[in-house]
Amino acid sequence: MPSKVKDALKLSNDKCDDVITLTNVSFAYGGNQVLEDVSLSVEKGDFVVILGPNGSAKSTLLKVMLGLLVPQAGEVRIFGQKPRKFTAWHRIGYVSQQAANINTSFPATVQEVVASGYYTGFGRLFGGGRKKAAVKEALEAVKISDLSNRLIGQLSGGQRQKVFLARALVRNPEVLFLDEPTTGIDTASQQEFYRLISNFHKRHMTVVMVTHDVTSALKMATKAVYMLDGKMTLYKNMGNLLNSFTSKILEQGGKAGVYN
Amino acid sequence: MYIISFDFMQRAFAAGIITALLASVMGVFIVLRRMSLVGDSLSHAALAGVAGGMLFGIYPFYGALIFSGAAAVLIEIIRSAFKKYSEVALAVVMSGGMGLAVVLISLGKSFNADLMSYLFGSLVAVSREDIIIISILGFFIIGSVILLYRELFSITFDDEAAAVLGIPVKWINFYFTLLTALVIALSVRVVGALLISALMVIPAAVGLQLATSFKSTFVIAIAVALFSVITGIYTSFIFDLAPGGTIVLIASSILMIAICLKGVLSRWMQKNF
Repeated sequence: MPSKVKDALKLSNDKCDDVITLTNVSFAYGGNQVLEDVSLSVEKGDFVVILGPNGSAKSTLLKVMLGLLVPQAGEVRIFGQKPRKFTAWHRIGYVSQQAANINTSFPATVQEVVASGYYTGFGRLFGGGRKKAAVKEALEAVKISDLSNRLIGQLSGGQRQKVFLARALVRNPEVLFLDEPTTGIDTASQQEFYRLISNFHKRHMTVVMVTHDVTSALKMATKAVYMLDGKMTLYKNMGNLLNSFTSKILEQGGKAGVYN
Repeated sequence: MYIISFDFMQRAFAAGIITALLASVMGVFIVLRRMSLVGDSLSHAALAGVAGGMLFGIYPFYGALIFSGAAAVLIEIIRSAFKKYSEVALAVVMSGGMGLAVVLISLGKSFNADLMSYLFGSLVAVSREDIIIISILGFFIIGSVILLYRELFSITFDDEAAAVLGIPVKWINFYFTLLTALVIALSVRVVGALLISALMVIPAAVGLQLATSFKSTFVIAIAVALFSVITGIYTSFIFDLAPGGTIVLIASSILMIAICLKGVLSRWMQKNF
């Protein structure tokens, strides 16, 4: 075996606990710097919440982690690999913010949307049996089996978010990325949604979630990232974090209003 | 049904049915991706291709294919330069295509009458060679859509999530635009450059009105397109009307009826499908 390959194998074995690593990442939209020198590692079993005021590049950070946006400087590794070379996408589940803004007249049933998450590569038209079972399981996991033949346009906001969660879960991923999954849905549905996520985390799923909801987020988190003006602060000890957040928000005066 | 016994009518029906199938299937994706005007832009470019083909002695279909394909590429390039205002791309290509068509037409003064058949469609002028090309490319296009069905669904629904599923979104979008250009070039002969986008958009719009699932949207759109084309060809022959226009008028009437009867019909669909 050539030594280069051996080194590469060793490297990937050493890093097997790292789900995502960002090293000195900077990102700009046009000339507008939105992430500055961000370093962060998400490890297996983590529940990372990304917090911060509106426009603090929380979603940008998430998209950089997923390789959807390519940073101008720094390194991104997904399961130890460069995003361009990464192919094991079945290890990742993603609930995009876009999903929440989906056109409600899109003519697709819950079943069809969830099944679309079971993507196994080009041209694989068959294997329908396993897919059916996976869809059924995902619908049961988020408790919406009864809705499977409804058009997504006929659902409430909370139900729709569960559909997108089921779509993200259908390939049985190791890590779940959620971009403001509870925005615009009622409090009861929010709490139910968090209970589901929290249960998945307890069953060893790694979670990365962008949210506005500080109180609920910190109850579940193992790590918290606070974004402000493109810079991040990482909190690993959740103990006094809520207090420290409160004082931090008070320091920023007017911006405190964005928190619910 | 004696008109079926005419050779040229058989060709007209064959070309019409294949075009209806292709246009309506592509139309569902096009409408859902809010690209309804793409068909219009590409068909104007295709018209320039037909005029160019006649001028330089190339078979007009190939001219239409080259020009609408080039226009598709151009749309993607301009679109990425004006991300937030992507309809700029459509307006530029549409007026550019029309401008080029007019200039080419004025250069070759002799073929105006023949060109009219490409503007408004001329089913009875469909040749055996046209039918062969339409069939082969039709199979290719439908095959592509079936193979890429899941990719196209995911991208149309939520392109960010599609990328995280591992779908090469950019390439598939590009391929899809090329397929659209191909369908347009094929359809110019049948319904005409000015009406083809109607045959893409109207059946899909009926599908959206009455759908109970994504698959049923296709079934409805295909049914509406086939019905419009078959009855359109038939009535235009009987009453000596322009077939392209007749087809589009029938399809539009179905859309109007569907909008009016939506409540009644969707209840019926829910019971029966």
